[in-house]
Amino acid sequence: MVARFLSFLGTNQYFLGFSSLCGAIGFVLTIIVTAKTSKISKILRHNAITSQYNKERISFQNTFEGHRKSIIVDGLQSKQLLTDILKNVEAYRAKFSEILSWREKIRLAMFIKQLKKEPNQADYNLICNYLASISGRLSKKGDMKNG
Amino acid sequence: MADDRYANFLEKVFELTKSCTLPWHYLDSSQTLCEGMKWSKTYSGVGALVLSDNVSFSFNTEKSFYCSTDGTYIVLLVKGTQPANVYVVPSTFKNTVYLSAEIYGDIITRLLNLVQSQFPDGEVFIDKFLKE
Repeated sequence: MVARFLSFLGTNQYFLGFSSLCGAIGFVLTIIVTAKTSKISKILRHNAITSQYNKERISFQNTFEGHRKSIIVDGLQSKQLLTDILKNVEAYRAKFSEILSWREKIRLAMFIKQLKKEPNQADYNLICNYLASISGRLSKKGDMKNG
Repeated sequence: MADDRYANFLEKVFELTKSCTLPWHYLDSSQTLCEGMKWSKTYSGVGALVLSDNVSFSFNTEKSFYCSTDGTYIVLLVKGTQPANVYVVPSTFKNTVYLSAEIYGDIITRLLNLVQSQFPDGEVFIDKFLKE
């Protein structure tokens, strides 16, 4: 009885067509769900980093402003200062790279290149401009994504 | 929220440092201060045998400094790669004042850069030596 029923299902063209259609719909739904899940996890990650950015941005901003004033007001120019700024910039990049735009990432890369120069070859005006630019960016609170 | 009194205090410390009237020292050179504030741990017995140095510090020894005026210590403390913080520590090691980088980071960073520039640096020596 069961064997005959299964045989009928295996040969009935309407049932086979319906089964194929369900399979195709299931496949498409799997792709959609996978894409949505990936998008949701990206949003969650973006929001976690943004939350950390909002918590630490004032501290970073103060540090970058301090370095800028050390160069402009106090006239300090040394390898140690460049190394300290580089450490702070690298820490900023490592922590918040994922929420920065491509333009900001390129600017940071150019800034890092400048900081890696020898102290007598570095352009301190340019370094101050980069520091001011990052400080300006840090004065803006990060926006959370809603999906 | 920044307190003007603390900001003025840091400004004055900065000015006195700039005019070299406030001499700074490496923090790890004051055992009394480090032990009093529990910033160092001295190992004895088996611990001392295992470690090459029997004292360990909880701060960056190359970037932490202190100065002392009227029996009170002013400490620039850097832990790892974190921003510097300032502590005002009376000789009793009680009723200390903590000034965080989050609020006063601007002037504290300037102060740290200035203090560091007053100490000898191997890199500066190499540059100078090559120029001669």
